[in-house]
Amino acid sequence: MRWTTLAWKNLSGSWRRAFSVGSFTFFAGLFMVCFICFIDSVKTNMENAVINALAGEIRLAPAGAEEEDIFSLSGSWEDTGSLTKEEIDGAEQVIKEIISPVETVKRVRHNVLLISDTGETGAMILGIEPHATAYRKVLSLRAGRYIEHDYEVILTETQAESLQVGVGDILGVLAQTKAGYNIDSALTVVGIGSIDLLNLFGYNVAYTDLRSAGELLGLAEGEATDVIIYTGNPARATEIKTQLAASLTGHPIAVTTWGQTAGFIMGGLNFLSILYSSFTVILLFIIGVLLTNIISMTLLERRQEIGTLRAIGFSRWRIAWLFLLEIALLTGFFCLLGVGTGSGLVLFLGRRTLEIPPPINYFTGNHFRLIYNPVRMLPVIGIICGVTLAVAFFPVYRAAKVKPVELLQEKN
Amino acid sequence: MAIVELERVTKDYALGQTKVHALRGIDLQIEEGEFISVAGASGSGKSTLLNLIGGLDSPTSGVIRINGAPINHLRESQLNRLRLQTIGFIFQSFNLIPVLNVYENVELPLLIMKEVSPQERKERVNHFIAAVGLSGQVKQKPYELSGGQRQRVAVARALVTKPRIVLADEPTANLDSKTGLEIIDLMHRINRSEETTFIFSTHDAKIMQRADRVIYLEDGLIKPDGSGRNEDRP
Ligand SMILES: Nc1ncnc2c1ncn2[C@@H]1O[C@H](COP(=O)(O)OP(=O)(O)O)[C@@H](O)[C@H]1O
Ligand SMILES: [Mg+2]
Repeated sequence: MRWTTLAWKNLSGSWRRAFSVGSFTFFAGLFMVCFICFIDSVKTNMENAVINALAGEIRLAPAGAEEEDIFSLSGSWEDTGSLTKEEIDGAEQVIKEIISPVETVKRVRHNVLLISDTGETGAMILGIEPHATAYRKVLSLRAGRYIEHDYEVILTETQAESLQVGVGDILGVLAQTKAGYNIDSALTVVGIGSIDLLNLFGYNVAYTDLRSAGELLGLAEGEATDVIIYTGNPARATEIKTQLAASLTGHPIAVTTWGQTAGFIMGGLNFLSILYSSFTVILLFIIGVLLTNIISMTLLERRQEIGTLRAIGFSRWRIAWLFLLEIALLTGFFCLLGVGTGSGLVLFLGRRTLEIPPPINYFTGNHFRLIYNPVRMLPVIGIICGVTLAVAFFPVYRAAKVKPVELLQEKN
Repeated sequence: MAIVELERVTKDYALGQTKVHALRGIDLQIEEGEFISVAGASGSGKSTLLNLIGGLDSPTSGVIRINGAPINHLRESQLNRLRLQTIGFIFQSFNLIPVLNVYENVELPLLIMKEVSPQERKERVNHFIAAVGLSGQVKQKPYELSGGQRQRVAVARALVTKPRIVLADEPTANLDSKTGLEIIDLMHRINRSEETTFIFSTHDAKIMQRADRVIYLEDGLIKPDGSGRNEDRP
């Protein structure tokens, strides 16, 4: 017979009690897994949206633009300057030498006035090269298509509504060039759609083509307000940025990562992590209190058994260890069961994209897909088992400390 | 040399403000291999005496020697080792571990005896289960056994560590008289074959007659005429 056999037999001998303790560990595991996967998925989806719609993984901008808040619709971006064709060509040369980017997108951003027959609205436009693909991954179209030619625009649903236009309509555009002249132009609405997640953060941007946006800002051909780069590996952005920045010293170009330009939006998600942590702490606290009680009661019932073992020659440490082994087996089993069930649930729900109703869609967007990351299960198991054993130690030690005669006193 | 030796041993229990003098000066010598009964009415101090000899409790005054060495001031770890290696216990209510079967209950003490190899452990467990006549019931749980069978398991568990002294506090009190006598006779047979010293308490006249020597306790003292030899051995 092994110690684990003994512990296991003791547990199964009183399975009702074991189950009552175990069910809490089970739910803790289940809850923690589901919540962690939810937060991770929200974060990943948000990262995805931010990177693909807006920030790129790495961004080249005119020197001095590092601190710029690229989400801001206010202020005049035209003041922040632009990159010349030579600067961009030079930088692209350097980039090609160091990395092989999946996609490099020149962009022009500007604030304009969109005018239809029935109304007008101020908007931020983002001119991109028509061949750009990254934004297509996160901008879901309700109607029409993506940008393919010059003088085209994709409106958000809000913009289309307030202007009362649809796909195929032509909009007037009024803007001010960086030199300060007024300029007008016309754009065809080719699509209507929005970026779920960012929409809810008040991010309303109309995608247009690079040429129209450049003209509206008064830029020459080949100039841009910034260039964003996709390497296909967002996690390595900082590393690549450092490398690029070193190679671009001398160029009047600021290199930033998506974490720097869009960090504040990700920071907003920390609220979720705090929520999760508080729930977890409360849950573990409840488990702790319950466990202490149940263990103390159990040990009272098992006084004679402890006394017998002490008489046989078991040391109090050995007995404490035996009880802790029982508790470790119990919580380990139910914790794994909970984590397993949680994982199963997440994997099952993650098989399809879910339609999320308000208000949860504030975090998730309207279409949400749960992502499962097995590595994140280890800390869950560690925390649950660690807390349970720590909590169990005190009553167990106290019970094992009692003098053997007192434990053996006959009750009759 | 006596294997157990008590010198002016007293034991007081605090009971609220008052003191209960459970033992009031016991002088006693027990030789190796003896089969001894501690007799006396309920409350006379039998359990207290056995607990002190077994190192489960410590005397208020006096000296207890096991194998010539005083145990009064042993550290806890030394007492644990003494109980594991030198002393075996048998209890009135058997005190088997309910979730373990016969084999496992007997095996239990050997789990903490590192010096006993798994092979020897197996042999010993089987040997003592056979010695108490339960070879056919090794897989049974305590609740499937009769009282007498349970006490046999307890006897095997006490012996499996090959102790030199077995202490049994009223081992027959929860058994009918026929079964009680059977247990005592079993203990006596083992006493002779293994040369283990047995000290058991009882207040049953028939049971104490089976002992080689009876120590009569009364109010925490050994009755002067009470340490006589039994002539009518079984
Ligand atoms: N833990 C204790 N606290 C107080 N008094 C006790 C305790 N244990 C035993 N006693 C008292 O000591 C005396 C001897 O008890 P005990 O050794 O159990 O006698 P026996 O086993 O012969 O019945 C009794 O009066 C009993 O009430
Ligand atoms: Mg007693």
